[in-house]
Amino acid sequence: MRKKRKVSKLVFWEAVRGYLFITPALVLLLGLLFIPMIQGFTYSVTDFNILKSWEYNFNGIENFKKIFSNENFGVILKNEIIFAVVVTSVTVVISMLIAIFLNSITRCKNIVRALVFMPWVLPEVVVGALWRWIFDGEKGLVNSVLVEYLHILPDHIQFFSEATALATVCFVYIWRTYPYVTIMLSAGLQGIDRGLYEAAAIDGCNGIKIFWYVTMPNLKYVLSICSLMAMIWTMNGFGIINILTAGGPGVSSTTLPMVIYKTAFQKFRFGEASAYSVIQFFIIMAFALIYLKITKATSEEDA
Amino acid sequence: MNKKVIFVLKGIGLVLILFVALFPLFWMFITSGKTMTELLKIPVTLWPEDFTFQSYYEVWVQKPFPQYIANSLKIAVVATVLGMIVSSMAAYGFAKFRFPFKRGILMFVLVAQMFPSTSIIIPLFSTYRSYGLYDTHVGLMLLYTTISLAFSVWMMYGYFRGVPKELEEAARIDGCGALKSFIHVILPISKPGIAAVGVYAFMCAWNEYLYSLILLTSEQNYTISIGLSRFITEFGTYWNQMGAASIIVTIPTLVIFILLGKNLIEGLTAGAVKG
Repeated sequence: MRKKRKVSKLVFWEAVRGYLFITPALVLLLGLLFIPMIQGFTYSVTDFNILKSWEYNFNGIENFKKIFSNENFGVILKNEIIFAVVVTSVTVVISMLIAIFLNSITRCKNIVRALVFMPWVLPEVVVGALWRWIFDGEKGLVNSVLVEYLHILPDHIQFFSEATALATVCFVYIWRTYPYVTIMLSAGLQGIDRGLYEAAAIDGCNGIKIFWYVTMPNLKYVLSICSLMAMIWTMNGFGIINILTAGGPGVSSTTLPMVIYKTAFQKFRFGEASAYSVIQFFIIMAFALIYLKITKATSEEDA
Repeated sequence: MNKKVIFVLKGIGLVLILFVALFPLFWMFITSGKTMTELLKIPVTLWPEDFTFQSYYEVWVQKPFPQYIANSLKIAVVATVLGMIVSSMAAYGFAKFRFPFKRGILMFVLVAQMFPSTSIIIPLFSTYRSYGLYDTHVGLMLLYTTISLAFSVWMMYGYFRGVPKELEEAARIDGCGALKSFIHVILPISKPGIAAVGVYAFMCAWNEYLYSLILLTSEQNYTISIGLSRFITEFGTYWNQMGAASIIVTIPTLVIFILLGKNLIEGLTAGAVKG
């Protein structure tokens, strides 16, 4: 009996020590991410508008009604889906090709990897500015080269028009995201046992078959983790869009984060913006749950 | 195919990949060397007729850019140091102790990094106003420490779990407490991991845009992101100055990345190999 109590006392003190170590991190995460998130939920059912006053009253599902009856909401949601799906899928395909290529290089591997990584570490504002200048409708490099230097096209392309803005935004986000996915996949490829390839080659598999039956199954974990991560980052993306198009013209390149920002900090309707946030939150959490499921399934084996 | 052809094809592929990754930044550099009259020409000139550092001078002396850089540097350094301390402590707690709800809290940490910043900023804006953190650097330091925290904790957690238990047990036998063995045994051998966390935290803070856009109003408090974005809205046509400012802002990132980028890449990909 006494021994048991001694053991449980040890367990107790171990838990206390553990909690002491994680407390600073938890306080910051709770205070600056989690509590604001919950607070946002409460705003979403109020008429909070800081232009009128800092006081706010409960108004039920009025904000949600307003959003769902807004004719632009369908366009915005469609933009968000196209944006997330296009950016993620194109990024994954490009990254896979580059990763396979990088792993076949034998010299200067580390320098090349670091250079390829550059677009991911540039400030968002710089990324936005770079491409806004390159795609400029009049003096942009792309237009000048295509029209004035190579005479391929008769006229300048407007990369920021109603029809093209979303595609341009997608392109720039792909450019921003592919380095991360490439580096992850490249590491994943290196982790695959060489013996598997040799065995497959002896069994008479060709390149595509080897890729499909040896590389892909072994890469499944990394691939799903980093493509989900890329997708979530993309769906939350704000800075680059704001610099490139600010969501325009009209709502042609407006995504959820963009409309949240505009509603909250240009129209100052905090209640309505928070209602958009709630919608955004549930979409993100759906993907986050898949993410957790994948990591949990693999980490349980060695926990 | 003979070896020569493969070698040439690989060379072409490599040049193409590096071109896509690096050319946009190089184009900014070319633009930054042009004069205003040259910028107005259509089509755009592919190389400055007369490379000049005039726009760097304008950005550095006539605009309050050194002030923005000083602000960003101050905030980023504090956020990085805080982030390294807080995240390695937390990761150590997760890796070496058993306590209730551990798995749940770890999952929470993982999910916290996926919260959309555009949603968090709305309540934070009013909270910061009522607690006197609005338009202060302290407010941003705390926030920037937090945004990289989740990622950093997971990165360090992976590192600490790889540290053999025997090492710590030896320290315990020598009479070290938990904190002592953490500082004297675990931290020194985890230097590459801490470097990775440091690079990541610095980049997050240095590059961040939305929070400083909302939470700062007075010009003397501006960070580089806000300074840069103002170039676009107010001086949209001065692309040479924008180029110069972009290059200046990218230099610290570049230096840190060249020195410690290897650590960051290793840290990021550590989890990718297993599974």
